[in-house]
Amino acid sequence: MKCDREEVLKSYLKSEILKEKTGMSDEELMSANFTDDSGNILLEVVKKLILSYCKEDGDIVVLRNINNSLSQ
Amino acid sequence: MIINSISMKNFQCYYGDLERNTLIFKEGLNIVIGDNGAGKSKLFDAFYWVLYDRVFSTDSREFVSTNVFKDKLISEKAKHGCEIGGTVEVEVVLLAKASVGTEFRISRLYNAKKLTDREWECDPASRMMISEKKAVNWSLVDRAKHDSVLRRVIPDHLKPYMWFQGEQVDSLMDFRDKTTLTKAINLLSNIDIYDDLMAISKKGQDKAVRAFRKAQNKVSKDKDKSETLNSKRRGLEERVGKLRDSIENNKEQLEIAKDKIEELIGRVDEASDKAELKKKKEYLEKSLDEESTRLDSKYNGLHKKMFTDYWVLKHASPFFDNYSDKYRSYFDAHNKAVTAENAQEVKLPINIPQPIHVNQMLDEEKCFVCGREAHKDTPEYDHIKSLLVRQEVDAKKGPFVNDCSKMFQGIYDNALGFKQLISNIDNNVAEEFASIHKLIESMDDKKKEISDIHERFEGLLEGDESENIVNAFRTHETNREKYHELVAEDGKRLASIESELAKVIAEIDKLVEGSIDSAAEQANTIFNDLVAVAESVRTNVFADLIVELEQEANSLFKGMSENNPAIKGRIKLKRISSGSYIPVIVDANGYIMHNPNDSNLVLVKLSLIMSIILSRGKRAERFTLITDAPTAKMATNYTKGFYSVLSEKFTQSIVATYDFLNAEDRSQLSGFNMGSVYLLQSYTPGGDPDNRSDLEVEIARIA
Repeated sequence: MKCDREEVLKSYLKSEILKEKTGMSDEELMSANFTDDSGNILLEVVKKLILSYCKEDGDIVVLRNINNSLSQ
Repeated sequence: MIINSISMKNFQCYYGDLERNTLIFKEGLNIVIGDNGAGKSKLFDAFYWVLYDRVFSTDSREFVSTNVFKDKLISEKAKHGCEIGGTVEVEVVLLAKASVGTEFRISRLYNAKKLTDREWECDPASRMMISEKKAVNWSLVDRAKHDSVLRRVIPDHLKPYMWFQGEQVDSLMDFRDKTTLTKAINLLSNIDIYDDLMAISKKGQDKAVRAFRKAQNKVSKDKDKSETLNSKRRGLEERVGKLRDSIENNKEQLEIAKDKIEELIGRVDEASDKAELKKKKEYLEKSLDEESTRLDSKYNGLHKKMFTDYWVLKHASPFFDNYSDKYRSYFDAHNKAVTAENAQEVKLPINIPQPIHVNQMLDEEKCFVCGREAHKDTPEYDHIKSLLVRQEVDAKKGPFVNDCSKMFQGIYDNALGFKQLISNIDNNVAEEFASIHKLIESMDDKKKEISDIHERFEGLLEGDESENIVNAFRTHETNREKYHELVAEDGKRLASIESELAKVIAEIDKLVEGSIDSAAEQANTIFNDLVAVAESVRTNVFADLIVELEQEANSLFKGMSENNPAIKGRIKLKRISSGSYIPVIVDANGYIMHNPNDSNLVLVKLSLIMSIILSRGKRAERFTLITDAPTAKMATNYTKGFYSVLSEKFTQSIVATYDFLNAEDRSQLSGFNMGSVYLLQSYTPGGDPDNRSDLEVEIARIA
């Protein structure tokens, strides 16, 4: 795997901008993980981005995966 | 991977077969000691050659490939001993072991045929073979996998920082190049992950924005106008980009001017005066920045106050009064009509106040009509209260087709409320402008104080330094003010263009008739948010990395310099406006120390390089540090600290050095996590030290 996806997700969850854009509380953000659906579109897109990237998917595939999750 | 051994056959000064020229390494600090000319650099070359087919040319001071070096690669003694028509074989073998137990044997071969005493026919290229040990047998690794194995020994991007010669340290961390530290950090840390995520987010954003604009245009009620506005939008976005670049450039120039001023102030000898003035200057500058921000906020807020504080109604009093008069006339006429139409048991006198006034009378426990007190639970109070109880006039039975009295009454009541506010507006406006004026005065005072401090610095400089220094101080002060102004002006221009851009975008949005494709709209919003998040995360991760690096570099620096009390200062990673970081050495008061001695500088550079390697990624555990004469520019007192850090922080390091030539010096290594210690000695068995064709190297393992 290209990177430690948990570590990367943790970095994103600490972001004040993410907190502002999602409207989620610190607790909700810190409990986010790759298994459970948070119900927030932006957070799910962030998770999809990290998951796909860390699996070493190319840029096009990563974006396709994100767009697929948006259309669901 | 850990390097187990290296063996050389007829490689440069290493005459003889592989077994004769073998060094075995272990985990820990491995030291290969040798005086100048003993073969240390050629050993470093051997590592490079076996993996990368390159050797360091002392003529051109760069690594060159084998087919450029040719027969210079071959041991002189082997060449001399070869008969004409015979072939000399050069070989280097490296044995390495991965943490999971896999072993690799990497060998490189090169042959040359002797044509005459001076002419050689060399192979067009060297040949590399890699074998992998599975159980007990070695099997060849497919050529296609060679690069992958080499990367496991040392990845390409790490190679310059973990396999280096002492003389290369300066170029690895060139303090004159503002990008050198940031480049190293970008290369060696995991920040590239966040750069990649940001880049992917931006790609997604570009596509989403294009799709959104296309969808928006589809539902525009005036497609031509939409196109024109979009073209204008693109132009404005381009101007915004250029202004942002200009602001960054000016900020960088401002930083340079500030640095130069700091440097010159640092030269002032009157340390205590300097410290006091500097502290005061910093306080005043910070305070001035805060006041400037507050002033901008107040100016921007003036527009808002027109509505939030009703300043827009400042001259509206006559209109309210006019309405009140008309309402009173209306009220009288309305009441007369109602009274005439309906006989009421309780006739309301014409001058009975409206409910708003009745409530006021009850609150104040006083009759406004006759002025008498009307305390609670008294008949007077009850009488006033009874005026609130009215027989509702049946609207259907009333004399009006449409009775607007309640609406007019509502307006009248509101007008009464506004009157109070309007009466305060003049005071509020005056107070607000007074506070703005006070702020401006305070800022002017602070600017004057700062200017006085600069004059005092000039005076101190004049006392200590030449006129050139004072002139330089003035020049940089002028530049500082100039770039400060330019940044402020560009900032205002940027705000104006961004405001214009927002209006154009709003106009485009207004032309939309119907619904934009929701998927396109959602994707546009989400990707915009994603980019904002990715950029902020990258910035935060990098900032955290800088903090870690600074701490680690200072810890290493302290460890390496603790035996030398002459060393002062600590490493600070200073942010410059372009987002790059530059390393500076500061003294205890935070002044930049200029022209540090070479030893100090080399230690700082090595500390920085090692702190970057040691941060995250477990490189120090996974890869071997190999260095030739890293302490060449250090004073003796520093070297022990350097080796101590290596032995502590790296799972394996191999250092070729002339330190510890004396057995006594080697006692300093006790307590370190040691691997092997070798002693190299070049010699000529025939006894003639100038006879290069008799040169060999004796390799003795002493620990």
